Amino acid sequence: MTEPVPSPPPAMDRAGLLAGLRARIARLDRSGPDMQGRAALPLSPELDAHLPWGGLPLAGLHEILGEDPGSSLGFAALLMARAQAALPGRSLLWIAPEPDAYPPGLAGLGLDAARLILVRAPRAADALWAAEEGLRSPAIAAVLLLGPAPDLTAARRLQLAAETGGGIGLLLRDGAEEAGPGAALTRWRIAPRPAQEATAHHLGDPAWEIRLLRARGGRPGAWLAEWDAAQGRLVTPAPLAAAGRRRA
Amino acid sequence: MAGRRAARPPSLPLLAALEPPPPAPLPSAGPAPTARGRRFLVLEGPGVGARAVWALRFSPLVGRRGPDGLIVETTGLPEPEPELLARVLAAFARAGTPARGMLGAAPAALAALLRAGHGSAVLAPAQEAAAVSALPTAALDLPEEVVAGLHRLGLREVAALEAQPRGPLARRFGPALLAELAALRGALGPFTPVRPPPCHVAAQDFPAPLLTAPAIARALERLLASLCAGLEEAGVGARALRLTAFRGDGTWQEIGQGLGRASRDPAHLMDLLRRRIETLRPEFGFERMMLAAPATEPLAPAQSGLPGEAVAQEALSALLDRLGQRLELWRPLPRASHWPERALARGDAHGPGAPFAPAPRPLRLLRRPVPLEAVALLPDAPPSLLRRGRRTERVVRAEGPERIEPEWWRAGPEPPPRDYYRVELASGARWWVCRRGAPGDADTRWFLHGYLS
Repeated sequence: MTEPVPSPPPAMDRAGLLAGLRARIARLDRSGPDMQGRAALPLSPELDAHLPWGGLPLAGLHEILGEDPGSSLGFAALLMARAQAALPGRSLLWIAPEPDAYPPGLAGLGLDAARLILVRAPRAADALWAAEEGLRSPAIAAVLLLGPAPDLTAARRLQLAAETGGGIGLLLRDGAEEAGPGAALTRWRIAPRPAQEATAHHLGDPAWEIRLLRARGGRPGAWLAEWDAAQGRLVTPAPLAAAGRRRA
Repeated sequence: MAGRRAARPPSLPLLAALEPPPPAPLPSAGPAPTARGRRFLVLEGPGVGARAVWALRFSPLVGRRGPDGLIVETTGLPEPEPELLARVLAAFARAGTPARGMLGAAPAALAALLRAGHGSAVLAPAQEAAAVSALPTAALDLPEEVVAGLHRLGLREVAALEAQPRGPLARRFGPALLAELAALRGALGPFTPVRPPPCHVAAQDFPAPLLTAPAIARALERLLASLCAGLEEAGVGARALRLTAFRGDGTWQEIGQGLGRASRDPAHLMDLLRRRIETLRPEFGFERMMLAAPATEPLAPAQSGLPGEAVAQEALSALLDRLGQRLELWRPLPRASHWPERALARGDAHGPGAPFAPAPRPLRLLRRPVPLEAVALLPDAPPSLLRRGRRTERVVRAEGPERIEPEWWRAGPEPPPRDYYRVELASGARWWVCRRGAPGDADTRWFLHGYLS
């Protein structure tokens, strides 16, 4: 009487099995870090090393929270400028109930206003529709959506639209709101900080405390960053010790 | 009308003048009427002129002749002329404005024949020439005193009039008479169509009137396919579309749609029109729909398969067309002004953009600046405390002031000068605040004008 004993896979095969499983999971979760060919925007060497995509992934939705409208918008404008540089020839959409973008100030963060289109959407439903249409279009590098947070279904739709179009979607929200579950790939919280070389009569370059609250497939983190306007790069000298304490 | 004219010659007995003489019967058609050249249908009936746009369902070229007359060019219409005339007259009768119609070559002659009291008919060229010769001069489109003068001379028929030498006629009655004589024989006068005829039209009749949105959408798809085929053949793209839907009761509805960039892609055009279908009110159904491209632009055939600037440009204009249907969009453009809110202009979203030079300015310029209360150590010192609503913010750093004087060369009352400060609050937030009015003025106020990064 011989019972068929399920033979364990040979030790040699274990690595292959794991790779196969990983590939299957990656196929199921299309936004996972293993997805091949997902280009990423460079932010700064430290941030890029921390993010699982080696930068901020394109074809995705990102949430930016901030209680101070200036600093969070500054970070968003920087991401838009980077997306513009990575996808030349594409345009930017700025969707808001009252789009009051001021390009002379945005140009300081490297954003080229020649390809900026402002969309006035007083109603939230229209704004979401416009953002989805924009993200789905192959002519758009980044869509910035200011206003109330979309619900989970709407955010998921935006994420899918971004995967179709290849640009990035940025949801800029008031940080005082409760940050519920989101379909975005990353969620950031930006707070203003004094610049390094600031004096009583000199503000210095824009400086932020960047907190990565959530990244799909990555760990949270926090950094002090400063925008070097002369060199056009983001400098993140030190990660903050309190990284990840604050939950999204 | 015929009665009024017939009463004029004084030699006529009174009773005979009151009753219009019955028109002489039209000459017989003769063998096989072969019509060449341009053909027109002249309609006459009370209130017919108001139906000019609706009459576009029969032909793209329709003009008004006063409140009670229409002229429709029928050149090249595929239907045989007698059937066409019957169909037009039946449609007008159903629409509540019965009309008489005369189809022939010279609109002036047709109108004169109708005025003389003839019934509806299709005239072959020979028949028309004979009928015009027999026309009474009273039926011509001439001033009353001219007709009276002709009658005094005994010229009661067009044939008699045409037998006269033209020179004396012109000297006596003016050039209008000669122009009318020429028009009777086919010289075309200026004719203003109610709508300029578009070069590219697709139209379809529906024996069973269209009632539902899906049916209209399907019909529209067919129309678009044929319109786009025509556009492609001509090497142009539509910059505007006009859909006219005709109801059986003599009314019509129109949808106009502009495009930011010439296109002949049926899918894109359908996308734009599909959203507008719900604005149509078919009620008893549309019997005919006509899709025209009133504005076109040369459009080179696109080379497909090479992703690049051109593809992105095309996709962008398609996107902006879609967004522009529901939302307001524009491009920020620089303007030569140092007054902050005036340095920004709104440009057409479809047009080209322009780069901006970086400046120490906020990222957002608040359209309604937020009033602040400020505490400063000295009247001309930067503020040390700012109160916005109920919150008090301590200023830890301040850059400024940057004095911006009003542009005195502009008309209108001059606003007070502004002193702008870039301030950093204790929370780290950076604001662009300004004091309106020079320090020491009686009425200075502080505003938050924008957020700095």
